[in-house]
Amino acid sequence: MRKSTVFLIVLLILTFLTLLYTKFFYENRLKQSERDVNTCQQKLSNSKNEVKNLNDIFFLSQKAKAETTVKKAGLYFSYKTAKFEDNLFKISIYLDGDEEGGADAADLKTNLNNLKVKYLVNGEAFPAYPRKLTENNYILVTGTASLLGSKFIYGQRGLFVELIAEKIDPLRKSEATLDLEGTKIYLNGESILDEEKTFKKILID
Amino acid sequence: MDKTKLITLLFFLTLSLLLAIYANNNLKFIFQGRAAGNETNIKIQLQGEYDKIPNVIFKTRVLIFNDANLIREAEDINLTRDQKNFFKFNLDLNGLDLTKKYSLFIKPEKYLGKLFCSPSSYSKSCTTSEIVFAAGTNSLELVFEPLFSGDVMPQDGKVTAQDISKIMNDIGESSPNGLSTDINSDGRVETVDYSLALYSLSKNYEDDLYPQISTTPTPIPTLSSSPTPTLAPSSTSTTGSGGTCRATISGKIYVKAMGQTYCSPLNNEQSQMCVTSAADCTQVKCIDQVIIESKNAVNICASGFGSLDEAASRATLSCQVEFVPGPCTPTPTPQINCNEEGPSC
Repeated sequence: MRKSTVFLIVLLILTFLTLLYTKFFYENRLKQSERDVNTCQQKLSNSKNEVKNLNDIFFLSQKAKAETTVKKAGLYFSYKTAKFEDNLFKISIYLDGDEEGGADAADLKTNLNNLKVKYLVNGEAFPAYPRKLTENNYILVTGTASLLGSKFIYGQRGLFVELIAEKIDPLRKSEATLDLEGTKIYLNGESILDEEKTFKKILID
Repeated sequence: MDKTKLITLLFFLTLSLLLAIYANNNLKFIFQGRAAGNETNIKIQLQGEYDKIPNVIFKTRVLIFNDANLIREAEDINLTRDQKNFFKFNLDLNGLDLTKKYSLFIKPEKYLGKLFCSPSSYSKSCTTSEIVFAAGTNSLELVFEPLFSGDVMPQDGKVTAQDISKIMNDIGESSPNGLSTDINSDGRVETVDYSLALYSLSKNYEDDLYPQISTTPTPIPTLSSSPTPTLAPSSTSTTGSGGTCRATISGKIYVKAMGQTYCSPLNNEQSQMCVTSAADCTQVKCIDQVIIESKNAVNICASGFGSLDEAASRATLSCQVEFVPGPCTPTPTPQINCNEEGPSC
């Protein structure tokens, strides 16, 4: 093979490789730039994290104040029933337990058998009741701690919910059964529900 | 250098340049990895305001159904912001039978899951799969109603006192790595996160109920070095009042992949499916079902690099069927394990 042919082939290969190298070089540069941009944006985002808005500062300060008034203690649901009329009954369900025990959120789910809820009113154990659901065969009530005026109030011992229920079939037995899966009492993200002391069933005679 | 040499040199230089340009443009896929396959770009709407939150990404779980059958389950798909509170993600459609209609259950982290049968049919109105995917790259906008938030870790499909308490407890906390109670993922837990969750709780929003699953989810497969699928031809079962079709299957499944033919034997494999009448329990229908299942397995395991040799397989297959009238309990389809070396013929 002539020298010039070898030279040309080498030249061709070199040109090809140079082009490929250039392509990868710039692709890597581009990827690196993208990474740098992301890092900068992340840093920017992190620096913003230090800033708290007034809402949060107020909420936190009031919550911190209120925290000193409650302690972590097991709380549970108890009940009382009273006959209202022939087939009408009043069922009062209480958040019960230690006098100083506090909760920041609680769900109560109770399944109803042969009972129809005529009225349901929340109690005063919690300052807010964002969910009061009455379905054909169950009730689901949620109470939450909240700012009431300028004060943060935790849920504490007291009436949780009161309902007036009517027997659908007066001759059949009526009962309200606690749905343990849907019933929760929480403080600072931890369950404080005392399952043993919580009622399991309310029999209506 | 004489004139001839100069012309030759110029010719070769031009040729090499053209060759390099050709390689750069046409061999891209060799260097850039996977060739583009079938995928769809899905846009959804999330509850919350995201205008001022940069680079927010939610890990998302997506289930693909064909009516009541779970076809695929994909975890940790990146949901990225498109504009305002609209987010998008890419869904890999490779291995899906594009002649069928699908519905999607989408559940981003911290959010409640929503079931879509079509862009305008979702949640309780979603009863029949209506989404049709085309080959190539599609786009799908499921933005009629936002997905609602508040289901923080551990996600249980609803917003409860536990979620609210956790968020309330974390208010004021910040972490660039993300807290599960930071609903809008802006790096800190604030009253706005509490407010978002409280809204969902007050409306009693929950995960949409998705169709009763009658098959075991198939994971997104990876191509193994020997893509012979281990066929477990238990048919897709649906709950029906007719009865149970029991089948004993024998024969061979031939798969062409990477220039070779692979063979998996079926030796008196027992299978059963729920059928609506005895007319659905025939040898022909049984073989059809085995072929469908085999194609599905090949599609999943070979990722488009292999195909079922239907003619050769059909020629060897035999099904002994028995119809048992009465209530039928659907049996889950065994998971296809692409990495498992099955017996060869």
